Amino acid sequence: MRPYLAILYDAFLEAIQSRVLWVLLAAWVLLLAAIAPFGFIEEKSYQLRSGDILQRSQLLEQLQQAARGKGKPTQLAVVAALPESARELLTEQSEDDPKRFTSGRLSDWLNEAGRSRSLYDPQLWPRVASRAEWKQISEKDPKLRSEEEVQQLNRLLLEWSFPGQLAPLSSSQAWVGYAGLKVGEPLPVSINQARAFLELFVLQGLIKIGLGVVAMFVAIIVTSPMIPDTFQAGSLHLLLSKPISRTWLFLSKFAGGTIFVLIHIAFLLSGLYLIAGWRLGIWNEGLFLCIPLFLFVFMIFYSVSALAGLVWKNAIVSVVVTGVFWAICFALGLVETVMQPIVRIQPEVTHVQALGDQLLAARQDGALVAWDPKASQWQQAFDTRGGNRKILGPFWLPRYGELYFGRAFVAPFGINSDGVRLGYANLPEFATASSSSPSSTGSSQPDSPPASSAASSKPAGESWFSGQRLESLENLLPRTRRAIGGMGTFLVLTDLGVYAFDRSAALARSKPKKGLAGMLQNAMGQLGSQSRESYRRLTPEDWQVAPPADLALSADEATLWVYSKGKLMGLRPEGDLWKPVVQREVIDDEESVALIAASPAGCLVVPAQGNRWTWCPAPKTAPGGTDAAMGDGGESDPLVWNAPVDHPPRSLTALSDGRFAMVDSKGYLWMIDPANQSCLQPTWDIQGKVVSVTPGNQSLVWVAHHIQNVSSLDLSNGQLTPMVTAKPKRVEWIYEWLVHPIYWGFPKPSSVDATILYCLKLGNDNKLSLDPALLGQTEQMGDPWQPLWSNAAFVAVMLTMCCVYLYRQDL
Amino acid sequence: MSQDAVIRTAGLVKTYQEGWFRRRAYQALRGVDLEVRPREIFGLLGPNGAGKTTLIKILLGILHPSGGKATVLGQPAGSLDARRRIGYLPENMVFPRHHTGHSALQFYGRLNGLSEEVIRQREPELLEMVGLRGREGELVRKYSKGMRQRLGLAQAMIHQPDILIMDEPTDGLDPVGRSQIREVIERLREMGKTVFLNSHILQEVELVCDRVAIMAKGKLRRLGTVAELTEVSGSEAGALTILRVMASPEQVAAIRTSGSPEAPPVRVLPLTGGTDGELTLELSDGSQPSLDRWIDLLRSHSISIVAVERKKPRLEDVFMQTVDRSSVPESPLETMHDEGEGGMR
Repeated sequence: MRPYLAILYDAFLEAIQSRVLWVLLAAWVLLLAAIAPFGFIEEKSYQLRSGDILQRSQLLEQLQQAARGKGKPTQLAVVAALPESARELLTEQSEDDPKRFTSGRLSDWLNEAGRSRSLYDPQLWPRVASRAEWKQISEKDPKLRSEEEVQQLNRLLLEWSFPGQLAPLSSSQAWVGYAGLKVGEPLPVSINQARAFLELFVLQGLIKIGLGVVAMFVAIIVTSPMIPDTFQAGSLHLLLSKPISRTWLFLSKFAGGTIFVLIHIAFLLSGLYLIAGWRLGIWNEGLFLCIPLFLFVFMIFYSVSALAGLVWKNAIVSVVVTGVFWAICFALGLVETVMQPIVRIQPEVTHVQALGDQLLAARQDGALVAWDPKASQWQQAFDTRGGNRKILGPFWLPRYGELYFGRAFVAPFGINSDGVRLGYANLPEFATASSSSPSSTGSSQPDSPPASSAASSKPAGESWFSGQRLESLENLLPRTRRAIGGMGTFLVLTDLGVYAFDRSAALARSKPKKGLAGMLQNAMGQLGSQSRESYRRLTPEDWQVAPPADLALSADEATLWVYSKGKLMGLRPEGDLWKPVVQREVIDDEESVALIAASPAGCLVVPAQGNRWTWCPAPKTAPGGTDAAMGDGGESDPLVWNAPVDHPPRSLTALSDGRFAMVDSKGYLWMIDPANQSCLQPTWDIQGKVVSVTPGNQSLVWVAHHIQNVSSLDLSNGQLTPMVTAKPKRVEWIYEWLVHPIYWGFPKPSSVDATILYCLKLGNDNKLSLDPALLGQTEQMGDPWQPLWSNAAFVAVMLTMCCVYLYRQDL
Repeated sequence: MSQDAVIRTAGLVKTYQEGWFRRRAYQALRGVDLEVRPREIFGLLGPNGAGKTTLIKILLGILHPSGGKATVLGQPAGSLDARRRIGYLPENMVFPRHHTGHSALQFYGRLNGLSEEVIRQREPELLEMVGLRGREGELVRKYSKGMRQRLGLAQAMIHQPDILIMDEPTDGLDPVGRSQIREVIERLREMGKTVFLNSHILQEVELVCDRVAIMAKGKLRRLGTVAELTEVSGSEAGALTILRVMASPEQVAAIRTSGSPEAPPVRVLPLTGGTDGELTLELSDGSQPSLDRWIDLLRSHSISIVAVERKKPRLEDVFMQTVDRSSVPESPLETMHDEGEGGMR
């Protein structure tokens, strides 16, 4: 072994004596030094940010009215505390001028008011003194209150004066900082959430682009002369005269070439690890696992470079051949990356809605499609796609023959419904059709007419696919987190509480006015006007929900369940409002995402991380119980057990027989009976390919599988019947039979990214999914180690070719 | 064939293949039979393209022979056992740029399987021997060509091989550099090493080699000591005879045409350094009967013979004569031709 170790050691000596190495190391030092000053700055702050203005136009309207002496006394008091110039401007101009009255400007004015020591008037805000946590501050002499206490109290007063217009206060605010200076606006999330974002997106992006592309290319250029130089006559003949084998000489030289790259990668990633940990608190040990992984990626390209170098004995040819190889891999990877979501992810059926004999489905990409039996394909019913969207609903209101849906943007931290319009399709031919989903009004609704058998026989004509009957309503509520069907309409969970959609109010507001008024209304609509009057508030004004959160309504509509930050609350109606009657700590980690589903017997909580499930029986406590009574108001204790499920949940659905259906991220369907703490996986051949479960009529359940096929499950006998088998479209055929096989057979250096991502995510699974809705997103992560085997096979083939060439060739 | 030859080739053939699609073949060695004895300094001569380097590469295992057999120290040429006992100084040796003299010796020592300790022991002695003592800390890329060649010699000797193969060791060196290399070779002779020297500088070979082989066109044309080669060459009418006579060119011309039988060919050379009326005749056929015939003819025409001088052939003459003879194509394989010839690899 001594001669081969000598070659390795010599490669190391060559590397550390190379100027290129030191120049590159210096460049990495500069890069690390440039990013080192980044960090987080966290402060207790009661300042309003422009993003905290939830409904700008309505807030402005109320401020303008208050400036003219109209409105609530509390609003008058706030306006009185505004700067003089602001009051004048609000008084002078009664119309909305988005350029003049920006959210930023309004927040600045309110912050001015927030600093006023005279704003608090115990008579205007009597609730303050009744709250234990505020009592101490409110009783203090205004002059003796600290600056922080004044701002803290005033922020509360502002929120109460303009309910629903301002985002609830978070305990502290965080900024991205550079060398101690704040950069931009405060972060919309907590530091922990920002860390998770940085860890999985910024760090990963930096590593993938910086190391995976730039550094890798530099490494290829720098190392490409090594093999051709070694196998030049002058040095090679002397080496070959020594008592060493050609194969091992080549392999040693190849391994020696990787030493250069190893030094760089280890240096850069260790530096990143230290800086990310020291400055941002991201101590991700997965970065160290990335060192051998990146070395492996380099070896894939280097094996191509080495073979080209051996054959042509020219470094430039070597680089060019490697570049061409990279370009082919990139192009194939790009085609695969673009086509795979189009063919395998976007068409996934996430929700099935039967209208008579017509099946409708919501897809992963936000499209609403209808089944065309003639073509045996899903056809687009309404043009609801576009961008990175997720569909909320659809919600079928059979009494009116209207199908409602909203398309929220999918953001890294959850869905973002701000500025998203609620759409609906008017389908009068099905107006009397029976509903097949709890998300619709259902037959239990008092105002729902009985189902007509005639309606179900209506043919599905071309009109389904014309896209003509799509109407647009007002915007969804800001900070919408979740929407579920129920109570004859649909319920919306926002940061400000739970709301029920009021169809009549919404339609009345959306009815176009003729002439100038109509034009004005349209213009206002374009500017993002929202109407909270279209939604009826179900929860008290001061009852707010912090994400991660989820919402469930029991089938008997007796209990509304809300999960928020590790706590599960059960709400019961009291008058017009629903009030909490039970509260349970169900998950220790406040930032843990969980899915909930409710039956009349209780609520099942399935966390995204771990398999510690909780079953909370429905409360027996009558509405109106006090806070102190909550949690031990006579209801049964929650049951907690470890479910035999290894993968995070994708969706959780309550079934009509009291059981629950859970689809995990690997496509397996589990039937759960919480009363017995049983969790079974039925032995169907669709297991592993299930994408969603939607409850249908009575004992019927729609199970979507194999991307866009649908089967019906009869709960009474457990029989699964195929209902819809979609024929592949041309693009699907091209992908499955042409693109994917070529991609599969060709080396895929870029697929190692999946392994790198897996290493970076170790121990962090789903932490970033701060919204249960995002759990339903398909994550195309197969076996994370598979890319290593396939690429190792490629490297082995290339090195074998090199060795055979060397053995046979006269040098 | 002697049993104790350290290098032996028998019917060695090497055919190169060229071209990606239209394969073409070139026969570089065409049945070479050679033996090198222990402890001798063996010189291999030949013009460019004669096949010398090909022969060396086969001996070192760098090239695979297309036919025939080659052994080194009883082992198949190119085997690991054989290579362990060979030191090689390649033509135009290139050292990696990052090496100093010291690190280069360490590296090549390790490649030969030597331990650190052994390398440390042998290094000073070797550096002393090649005249690089005190310069081992300098980067090799700053060495002169002569220093690099001497360092190349040192690396070739570091594992104390039984055979040293040197490919053009003095190529591109100045006279001082050549002299230094010669001295090292003499030292090796004293140490009892076998040296296989490939060179086209005939004077070098003539000065240091015990035996010489001349190759041309892929074949071994001559083999023997320098004396043997020049002697054989002389007896084959390669030697010249010079006659200095008191006569005019016209008299000599008359003798050449009048004689019966006709006089052997003679060339009249211009007078250099003789007295007036002297003429120098060069007999290209230097055999004794030719000389006797000319002496008889000259004396019969009363021409005085001032001096008779025999001129011995040099190695260069032998080399040139051998190369000239071999320039006549002997087989279709002498030139490039398409694949398909029998016996090619």
